[in-house]
Amino acid sequence: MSGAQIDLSAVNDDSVDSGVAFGGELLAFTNAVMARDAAAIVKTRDAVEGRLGAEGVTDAAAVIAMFNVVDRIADATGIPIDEGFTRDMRYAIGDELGMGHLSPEERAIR
Amino acid sequence: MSQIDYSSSKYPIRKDLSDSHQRMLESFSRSGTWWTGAERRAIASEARAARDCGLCAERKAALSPFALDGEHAGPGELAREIVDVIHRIVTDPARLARSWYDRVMAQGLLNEERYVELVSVTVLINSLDVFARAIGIQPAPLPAPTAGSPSRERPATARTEGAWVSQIPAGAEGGEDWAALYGDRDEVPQIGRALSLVPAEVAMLDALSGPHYMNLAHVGDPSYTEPGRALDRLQMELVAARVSAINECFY
Repeated sequence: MSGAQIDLSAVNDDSVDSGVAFGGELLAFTNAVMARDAAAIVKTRDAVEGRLGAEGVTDAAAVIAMFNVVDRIADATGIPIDEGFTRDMRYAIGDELGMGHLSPEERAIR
Repeated sequence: MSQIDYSSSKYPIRKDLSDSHQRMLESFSRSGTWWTGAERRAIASEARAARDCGLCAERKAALSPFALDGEHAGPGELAREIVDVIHRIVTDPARLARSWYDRVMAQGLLNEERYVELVSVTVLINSLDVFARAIGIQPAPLPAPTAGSPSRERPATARTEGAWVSQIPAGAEGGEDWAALYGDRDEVPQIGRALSLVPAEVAMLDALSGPHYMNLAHVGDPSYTEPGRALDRLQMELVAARVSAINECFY
């Protein structure tokens, strides 16, 4: 990617520094939107705006909205993980995040 | 016609983003491929209500999502079984399973084409509302339904592959169906093919992907970021990964 070192465990653990610029602010905003916590949304949105500008808020909101689409389509249609490099990468990331129990193969036979 | 209006937002909304939202909003009340405009609007209304449904909250907290029965809170304009499908997709998608999908199909109220279109409408209205919540504005009202009949056109090449629903097969096997959607691309990520049984919904997803994230054709290139964005690729992927983790979505 960019050569930057990132810590994937930050995706599931707020105490971990992801290594991504202003990652803490972005994750806190994401948490607040997903939790539908109005007060937290205002507070964390201000923090994102302070670091990344008003456009940063818009772009973060757009990504949050888009992945609520992607995740639900994947879950509701039972698509498999793509083959090749993407498959290896997804499973490696899934294992690191402790999400192996949600693999499409297991959901397909449940 | 109801309009997307972000003029009250303190955040600048790119025109490509607001245009994609307007297109989405209008689609909810227009006749689709398998549902009428009134039915699509009813699906969107129900999906919007699911977020505040008490039964869904109880189910989400339950050990098994199928242990509790009851009435969903919502407009209830559609058959009870269809309402249940919509609410589950909105509020507990990670616990949908093949056995559940098979039971839904066995009920006979939905065929796979109608199911795929229902999934699309449900997830799109949800995303529109998530965006509104994130930037602090009220969700746009749904437009009144427009007249028209569903085209009921199923891609001739569609068949069951790895997903629960049929898809247009990749490349030459997909023939004109594939070319009409994906041009000369040999491969498309599964997420870009999931709705291909209803090509109009793939076109909608494609139109949203660029303004919200990136064009699906670029997803496989980890160095790519859409020009003019305030977030770089790493920042976008971090946000995306957190959303998927909260949604417990492996994909």
